[in-house]
Amino acid sequence: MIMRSYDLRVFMAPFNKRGGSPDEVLKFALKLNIRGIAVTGFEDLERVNGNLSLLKKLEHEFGIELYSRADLSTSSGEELMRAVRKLRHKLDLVCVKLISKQLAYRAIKCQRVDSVVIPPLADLNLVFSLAPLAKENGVAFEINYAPLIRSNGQVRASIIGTYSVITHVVNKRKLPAILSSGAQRWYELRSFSGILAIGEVLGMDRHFIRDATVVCPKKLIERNRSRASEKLFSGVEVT
Amino acid sequence: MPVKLGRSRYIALRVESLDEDFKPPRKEVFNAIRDTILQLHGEACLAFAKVRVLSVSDSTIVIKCSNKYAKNILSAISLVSKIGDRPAVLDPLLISGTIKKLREKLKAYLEVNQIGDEEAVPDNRKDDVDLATN
Repeated sequence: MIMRSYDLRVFMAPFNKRGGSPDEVLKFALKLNIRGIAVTGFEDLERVNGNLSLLKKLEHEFGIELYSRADLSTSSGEELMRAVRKLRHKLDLVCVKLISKQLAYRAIKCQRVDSVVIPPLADLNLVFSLAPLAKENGVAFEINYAPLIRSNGQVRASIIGTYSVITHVVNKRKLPAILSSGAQRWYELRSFSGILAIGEVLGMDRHFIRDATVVCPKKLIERNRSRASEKLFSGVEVT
Repeated sequence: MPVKLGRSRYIALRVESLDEDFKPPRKEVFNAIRDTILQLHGEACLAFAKVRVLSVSDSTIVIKCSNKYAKNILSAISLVSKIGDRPAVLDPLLISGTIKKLREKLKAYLEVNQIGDEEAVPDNRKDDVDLATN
């Protein structure tokens, strides 16, 4: 039986300017047996409702699970919290880009944030210092493999170095991790077996990749959807 | 007396492209794989891996490489995003120690090719089984 992975970060054209055509991306995702895709680009509060209806339409048309996702990168911690408060109940995933120390600490302490996206050339000292807090609050570290496919030479070497250190930290501390593509074009998507082979370069074993592409994303999506669908009393947690 | 210098691995790949009729020639497939190995693992790996493209059928390609470098070759193959001038992805399907066994598995794989619930699938695997499943 074929393992069907999730891809929790894909750029698509109507939602994000950098992304490729949804037709191409979704057709190719179906070919690769990808179970679900999180489409990034839901940061703009005014366009969220329109984008969500378009996403549902695409989901119905192609028969693949699609999730809404916002990658937040604000200038201050307060602004970030405001954005999280406004978007959380509307979207499936709320993630924060690791761009500054202040923002990273604020995001990782907030349990309403699902993951922190680690850029390919991240400050590793910051990652080390965030690891215990991430473990405490259950915020996942997320890395993308598309920059590896896109780059070559010195840049690719640096990305491999950074990602292998992050893999080591995640393994050592037993942190939740997500491995997504960050694909901007259809040919940057990979099947589970392709991800397994790429992970070999980064020092990831089979269990790590299984957890990061199937188990952890599935848990996150199910938890967020059940939270959104049911009205729970404060203090009651969906496990 | 003939001496066997090392063991080989046979890898089955599938060319994934949006164009259903895209059947890249053997030379272009080899060039794409060779270039990525050179970029990712370097000249020494390319030399010792002894990569050969054995067959290119409809959408399945079989390549042969050294057993020691099979993992390196697989990782390089997964980073291929262009064959010739056209965007395409090489998706590793199966790996085996003999061509006969690979053909048997490939036949079974293409016939069965079931999609199921991964939680029900046990996690223990040997080296000589298909790559897409768990």
